[in-house]
Amino acid sequence: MQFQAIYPGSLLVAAAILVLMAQSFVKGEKKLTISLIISLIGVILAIFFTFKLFGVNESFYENALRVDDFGVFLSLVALIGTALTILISAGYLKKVKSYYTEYYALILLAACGMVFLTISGDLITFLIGLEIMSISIYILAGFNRESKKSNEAAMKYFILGAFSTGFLLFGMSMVYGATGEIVISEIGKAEKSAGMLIGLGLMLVGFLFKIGAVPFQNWVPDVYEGAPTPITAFMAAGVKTAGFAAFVRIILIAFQNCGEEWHTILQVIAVLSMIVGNVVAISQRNIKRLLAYSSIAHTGYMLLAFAAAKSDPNMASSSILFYLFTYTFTVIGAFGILIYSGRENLDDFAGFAHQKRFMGIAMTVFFFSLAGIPSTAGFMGKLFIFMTAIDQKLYWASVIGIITSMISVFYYLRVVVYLYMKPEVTRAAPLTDWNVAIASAVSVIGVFVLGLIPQSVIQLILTTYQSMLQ
Amino acid sequence: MRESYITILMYITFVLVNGVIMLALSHFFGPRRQGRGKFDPYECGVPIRDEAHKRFPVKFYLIATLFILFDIETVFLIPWSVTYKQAGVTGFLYLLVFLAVLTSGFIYLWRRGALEWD
Repeated sequence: MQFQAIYPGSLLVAAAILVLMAQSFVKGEKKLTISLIISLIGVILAIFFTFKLFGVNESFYENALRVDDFGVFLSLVALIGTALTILISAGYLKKVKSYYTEYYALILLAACGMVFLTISGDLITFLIGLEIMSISIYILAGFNRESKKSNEAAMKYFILGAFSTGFLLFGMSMVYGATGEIVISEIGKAEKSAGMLIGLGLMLVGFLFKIGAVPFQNWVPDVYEGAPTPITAFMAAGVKTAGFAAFVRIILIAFQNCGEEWHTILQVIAVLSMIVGNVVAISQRNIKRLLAYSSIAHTGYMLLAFAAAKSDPNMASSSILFYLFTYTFTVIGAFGILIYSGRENLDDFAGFAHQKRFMGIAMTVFFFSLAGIPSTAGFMGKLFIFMTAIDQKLYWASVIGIITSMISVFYYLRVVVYLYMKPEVTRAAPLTDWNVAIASAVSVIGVFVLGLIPQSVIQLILTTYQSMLQ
Repeated sequence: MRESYITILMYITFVLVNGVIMLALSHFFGPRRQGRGKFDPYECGVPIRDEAHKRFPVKFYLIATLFILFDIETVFLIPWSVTYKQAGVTGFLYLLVFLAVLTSGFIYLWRRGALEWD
């Protein structure tokens, strides 16, 4: 039954169309609520049908879609991220008094792109999924039409993103020229050749741009700062998850014969990303910028595990998957609280935890998780990654990773210090927003479940690499 | 294998040399008269009235974007109409789904007032 593969994506598109219809025919504030409900139902149904795809492990539509546990798991992560983003967006739209419900439709379309990106079986599906996702995000980044920063963010992201897609496409055509194949698993059977290597290099540029790794990280802080906060969360969680999904699949499967080359490149890039992200984040006073640099650093951690994939692809892809899962909860939770509080600067957060006790606790949990304090999800994720890297004898890179990770504890904990120990700034306490509160609660639960009892998830993840090869 | 490219090489060389010769001949032997007319965009034709770089309403971009909607429609409809016998009922249903998606986009544009000029 080949239709089952496209159920999640089609449901998301259907929900997006319904949202647009609601925008066309419903008047006033009601359409915000209606669109919120439609999009949540759409995403939850999509999650349900994605769940049913576990264990299918087949190719559909002449190898255009490759439904395996690896892709399905990352689809799920991206969709959970989307659901949480929609929840925190509801709070945000209310706060900025925006009635443009196209916002939800674009998020749903981006999620559709992510789903197809994670289960793409050939390069064409991969590119189309990537473009559906990216174009929606470009528009969303500039959604605050009145704000200059938002416009700047959209413009920068669009021009640089289009440029990087150009590199990606050129790389793909090189690979096609060298092997005569577009199906990812078939490319993997080809011999190593000059065309393949040029293609690998060009495609790496495109991928590393999308996931925001050094030296393609310059857009990250500006875009993260300028874009509406829920979209920043979506970019940090969803786009990165989907980007990594395609990245891991294409590098590990299509370029499995070029291991020698990407192994070294990724190791260097991982080290640079960790250093740049963590060191520059220290001087940031704006929390959105701080989280942007921290996201560069987190990309670096994941690439470190990736560099180990040459000799142990199973552990490497498993640790990346687990890290993406933990990072989704953590980062969306953290951005959710920025929306809840309506503040962005570090100084404004002084004494916030005394105004809103539960939100203060939640924020502490998220920043502990980002820093990798034991009993949170972030700790398990980092443990998994550094274990993989040290097992594969990447000693130098691991040592640098651990040192920069310790540096990062400073700026994460500084936020917590501001929350609790600084004299209160006279700013009115924000109003309670239940949508964001629910999203934060779900994220806190996610962080603790993955931090304390991750066995069942890890069991599931450890079989995903095998499912890709079948 | 490599010999078969000789013709292409000869072709390229001929084209380049030919171009250079033509330009050189007209450079050395062609008459040259300077005048105001030389600076007009079109030397022969109606005298120009104003600049080519004019501002025009952003609405034209909207129309151009809407055009894509119907463009895509044609791109998918024509191949279907050529092969509709082979495509059968399944093809027809697929096309209906496609048209439904397209029409919903059109309804959205209409309701949002994208088709009104003012």
